[in-house]
Amino acid sequence: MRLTNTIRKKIWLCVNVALIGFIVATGFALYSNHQIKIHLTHIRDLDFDLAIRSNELLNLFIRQKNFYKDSFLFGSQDSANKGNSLCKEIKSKINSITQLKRSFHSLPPDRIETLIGLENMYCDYIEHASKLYPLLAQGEDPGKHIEALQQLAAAQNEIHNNLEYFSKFYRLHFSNNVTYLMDMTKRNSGFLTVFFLTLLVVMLGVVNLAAKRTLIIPLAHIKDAVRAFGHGQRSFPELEVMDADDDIGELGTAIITMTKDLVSTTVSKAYVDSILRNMNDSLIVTSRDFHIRSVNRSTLELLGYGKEELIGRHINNVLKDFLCGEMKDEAFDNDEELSLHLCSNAEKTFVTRDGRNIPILLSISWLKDEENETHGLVYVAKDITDRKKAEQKLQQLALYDFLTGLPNRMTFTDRLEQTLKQAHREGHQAGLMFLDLDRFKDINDTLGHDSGDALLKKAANWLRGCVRESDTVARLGGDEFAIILDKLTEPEDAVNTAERILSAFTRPVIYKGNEIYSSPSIGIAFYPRDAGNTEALLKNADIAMYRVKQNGGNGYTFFS
Amino acid sequence: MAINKLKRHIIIFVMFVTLMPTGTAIADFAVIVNKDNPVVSMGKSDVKNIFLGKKTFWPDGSGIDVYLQRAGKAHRSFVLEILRKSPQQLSMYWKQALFSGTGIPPNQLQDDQSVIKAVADNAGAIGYIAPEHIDTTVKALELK
Repeated sequence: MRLTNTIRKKIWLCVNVALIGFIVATGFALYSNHQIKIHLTHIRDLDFDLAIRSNELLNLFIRQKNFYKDSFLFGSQDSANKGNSLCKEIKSKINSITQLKRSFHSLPPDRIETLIGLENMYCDYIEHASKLYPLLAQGEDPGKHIEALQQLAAAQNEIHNNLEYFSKFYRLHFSNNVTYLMDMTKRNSGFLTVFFLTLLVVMLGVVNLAAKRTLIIPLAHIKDAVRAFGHGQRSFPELEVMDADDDIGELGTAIITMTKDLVSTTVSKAYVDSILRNMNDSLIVTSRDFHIRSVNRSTLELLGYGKEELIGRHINNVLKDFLCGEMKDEAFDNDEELSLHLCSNAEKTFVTRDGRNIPILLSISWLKDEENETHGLVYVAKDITDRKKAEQKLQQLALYDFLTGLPNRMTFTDRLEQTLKQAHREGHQAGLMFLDLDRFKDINDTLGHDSGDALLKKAANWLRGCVRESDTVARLGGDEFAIILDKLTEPEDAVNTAERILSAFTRPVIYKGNEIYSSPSIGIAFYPRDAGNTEALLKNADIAMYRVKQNGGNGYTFFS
Repeated sequence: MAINKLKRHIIIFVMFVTLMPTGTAIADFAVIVNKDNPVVSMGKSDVKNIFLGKKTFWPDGSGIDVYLQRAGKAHRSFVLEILRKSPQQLSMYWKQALFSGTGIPPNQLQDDQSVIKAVADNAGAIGYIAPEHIDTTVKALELK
């Protein structure tokens, strides 16, 4: 509706429609009142007067007739005179009625003629009556005037009947007019009631329809659109079809424009949600008092919890060794207290639902709104289990021999130093065995490197089986092994160990159907007896071992 | 009320008894018609109607000419007994009729002889006379 493009105009339209209806109704009421007034005036000026005057005329005539009758019956001259005296009055009365009727042009002329005829008839009658009756009253014999009397009686009766008819007619006319007026009033009232009610119903319908079409439905569209906007919807076909020149349509257009602007200038919630849902790192948001408020999918997968299980729990349940500090209520209101928990890439541990520990890199930061008000903390955790394993492997590779799993030379040296320091501190002895496999080079060359490796692995196992828990077996490289014998009370302990080793090597290593026999050459040196430091001790043990080799191997000897 | 009603009944009864004609006592008048008139007898009410101008035709359809007398014994008793009026009332009755045009007063004759003569000359006439004056020229009606 182009005409009604502002809300003010829409409201005015409704008001005007109602107003026009009521003006029309008032017009009808005025018109019907006017009609009634005209009728009432007519009744007052004509019908009422006619009814009164014709009745007066009839009464006058009857009085006159009675006077004449008295004069005739009882011979009263006086009555005859009285009757005659009424004659003038009656004539003037008839005349006044004629005049009255003449003044109303609406009356048909034949009625007036009838009245004039009556007047003439009366004049004729009275002319004779006024002479005859006094004469008879004086004692004249009525037998002589029978014919005249007959005529008079006939005229008298006719006039009487006519007057009676007139009187009755005008009385009826009056009462009919009043009744008609009453009916008209009643009819008008009924009509006006129906009219007003119909008008009211029509008005209600029109105003309702107009309000609904121009106000309520567009507003409902806008309301729906705003709600849908809140839920992330970004296109509103209902708003698109609105008339942009309309106030409400303008609002709709403004919402569409706003939506488009928002889409082009800001990241949508769905977009953020998608990122959070699909990121591999765990994301947890807690309130200021460390109760979990939301988590992403990765967190749930990592920890094995359902979402409902986690929401509302304290962060302690999943984050190991998390110190909340003093659990004072006011502490939660203090940003400084909270800021103690902020961290970046700290190595922490998550505890899963089934109790496993998962190493993580944890960053904790603020959750703040636009007004920089702190609402809680955001925890982003990266699962570093794999990295930890890799680190362990690297460590293994750096400190231990790859083939046998025994400590390598570096570890060995470190341990030897520790052992010597401890022995020095505590004042007891330590032993060092240097061990070389006889004919290892031949085995390697004839049976292959893999056979040599199998031999080395088996030898390492045997060696580990022949020493105490506190002793260290290490591979120094090639077929060279070393054993640190900690806290020796006397050198014979070392002899026992060496004997066990020699007997262990009497068994063959079976590899790919070959029985590989090997024997060790063992050189033994003691601290502090043979040397005061690691280098010297190693060297002396090595010397001892060469002595065994020179003697054909498969044996042991002490440096001193 | 009941007593008043009873009283009234008693009064009416007494009046009825006292006013009742004493049997077939010789009346002071006789109603006469023309000799040729076939009517021989007539009810008193019919006579009354005729003389008050309410019945104007004989049974055969011919008109009735009524003759009254001006005065006299017969006139008086006839008017009293048959018309149940005083002579003055009768004259007023006819005056009223004349005034209102409802009737023409009947002929009024001076004496019985004039009545006899008028009745004898007029086939549709009716009149009354003293019974002793009845002659052969007229016929006396038997009243019932």
